[in-house]
Amino acid sequence: MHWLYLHFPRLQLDQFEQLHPEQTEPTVVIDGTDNTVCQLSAAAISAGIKPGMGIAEVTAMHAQTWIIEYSANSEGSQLEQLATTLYVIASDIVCAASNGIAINLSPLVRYYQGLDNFMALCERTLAAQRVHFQFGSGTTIEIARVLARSRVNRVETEPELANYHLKNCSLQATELPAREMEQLNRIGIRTLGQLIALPLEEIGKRFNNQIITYLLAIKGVKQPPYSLFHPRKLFSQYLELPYAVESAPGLSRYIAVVLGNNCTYLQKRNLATDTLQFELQQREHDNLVFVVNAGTAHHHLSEWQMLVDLKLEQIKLDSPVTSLTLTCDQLVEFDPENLSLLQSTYSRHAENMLLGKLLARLGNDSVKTVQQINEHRQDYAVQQTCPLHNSPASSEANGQQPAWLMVQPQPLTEQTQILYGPERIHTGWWDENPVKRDYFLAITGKGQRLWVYRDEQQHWYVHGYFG
Amino acid sequence: MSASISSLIKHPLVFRGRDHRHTADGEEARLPFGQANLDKACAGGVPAAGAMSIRALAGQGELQLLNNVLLQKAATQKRIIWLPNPLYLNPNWMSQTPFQQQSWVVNTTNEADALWACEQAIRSQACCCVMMYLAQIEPKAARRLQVLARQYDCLVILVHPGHRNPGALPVNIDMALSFDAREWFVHLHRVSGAWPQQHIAIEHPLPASNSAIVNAFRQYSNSAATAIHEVS
Repeated sequence: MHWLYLHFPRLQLDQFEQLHPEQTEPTVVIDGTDNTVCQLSAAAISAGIKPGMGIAEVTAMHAQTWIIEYSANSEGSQLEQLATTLYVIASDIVCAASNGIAINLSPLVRYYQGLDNFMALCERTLAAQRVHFQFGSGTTIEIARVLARSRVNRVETEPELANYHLKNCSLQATELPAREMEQLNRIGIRTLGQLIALPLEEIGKRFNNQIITYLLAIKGVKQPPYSLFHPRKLFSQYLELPYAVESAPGLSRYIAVVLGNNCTYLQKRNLATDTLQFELQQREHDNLVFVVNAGTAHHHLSEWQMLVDLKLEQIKLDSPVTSLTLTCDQLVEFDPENLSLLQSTYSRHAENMLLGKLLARLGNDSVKTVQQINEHRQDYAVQQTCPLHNSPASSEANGQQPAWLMVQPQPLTEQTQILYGPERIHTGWWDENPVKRDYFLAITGKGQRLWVYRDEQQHWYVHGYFG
Repeated sequence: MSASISSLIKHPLVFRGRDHRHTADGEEARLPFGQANLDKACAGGVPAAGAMSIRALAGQGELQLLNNVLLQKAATQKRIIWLPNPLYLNPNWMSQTPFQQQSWVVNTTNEADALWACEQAIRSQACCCVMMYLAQIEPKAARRLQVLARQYDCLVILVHPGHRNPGALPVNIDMALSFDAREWFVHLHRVSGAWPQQHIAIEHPLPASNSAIVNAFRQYSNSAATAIHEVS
């Protein structure tokens, strides 16, 4: 076996820099457990800030430093996203730690006709993701990890060369617990070469089995078992925001990132969706869940971004949002229409895009088609159906009827002249809404043609207008 | 060879820049109302692309006047968008029209949303016509819709009472419907390609009347042979 290990030392900072490319002030990620710097930007290094410094020391060195709290969830989600991206070019992938990915190079040598070809592709893929990474290779994942963390940044095909680099590595680059490392330090063992030179039996007398297992892996004798990574069948991504966002439109730039990943995921699998579900984690309130629907299933980023922006304009947050999750679980195979140049029917795509925009901005029940129903009471005839669910219309005519109806009939208050009628409607005695009315066509002095009726109490109402 | 090319370039879906939205003789395509006087005053009818304004009160019969125009636009099979406010479209009336299947009714809560929806419908290129009902329309908004509608080959019909727009709107046709005792008139405040005109008499019959019964009674009551049946 020949493993490549990719170590991502500043994933959370990389994501922050992607989201805020305009940020030039020093930025650090603070580990909440001991309040020390664990990741820092180039500007922070220039300002003299070093890993392991406390918050007070950081702010003393540069008062305008941006401080982000470390989130294991966020890095885990990013790592899964990177593994999904790499899965396109490599098959055997292991998410070995919270910030590292191991790739089995053995089957790739033949596929890519040489490791150099694969490494060039791999570096290009990761560069497109705009993440900082270090790498190393070895016969076990543990060897490759130590070399990657030691910034060897070379893929050695000969095990002897890998061992040579390994022996010069500091114990700080290993996964040994801090307590054991301190013990070894006290007896003068500071490099991995010194540790490997010790007989295992002697080490076994002083340290536990986990250390022995780890050392066997470092020596390339035995690889501990790892489960291989498989991309999810449904897309879901969690994103920790660098700071709490107070207004919904302000979330757009962050949603764009997960939306881009979602569309890439769909495009690579020739899938499409018409529904995206977002869950916003609010700082002081319950999570806010909303769904964005498109008129048709597709995977176009610009179209989705526009629909999401329209939806965000309508949303009011109860409290600032600290993180968000995009879930896309209604997937269908992408089936584009093929239309000839001179085909008379136009593309339904434009129609569906329009429908999606209208629904996103105006609400899910804003766009309807009008279908006739078998009901003489016009108060109940104002039934409109959603265009997504067309049903065959009834062809039954219903007398002389106006184009426009009032939501509630209004008392007739102006002088009119009756020109047609009556048409009696007497129905509904079998339910709780009986109607007995005489309908007339009446005209006002201004020429307005009203649809009026007289009820049993001889009261007159306007019910509609002839358009 | 030339015959085959000729048949190809005459195809309605082949775009030719110099013929864009124009007929073979170079005139802008117009859709007649089906009323001789009005069509003559409008230089042939409504321009097929662009905005038009009708100043009419609810019930003055704007849809009856536009029936011929709507039928011609509906022949493209594209969507017709209705933006009613504040009334509802009667489903029974709509079901009697030939464009029921291609109509969408978009319900909005305010006129800003209605204008936005209208713009989106025009830009989508999925719609041949937008019927929009407003309490008033600003000249700036009307101009914006006019430019968009011409660009995207869509007909936008703005129906509003017109009380708050004393001047002509910057659209292809700005007309007002009026009723004077027994006759209907159209006042053209603005027409692209022709001069404004007032008092153009039009045929605007009622959708139904009792005239047949009244006439029958009158004839019946005047007959000497049946005078015994005269009713008071």
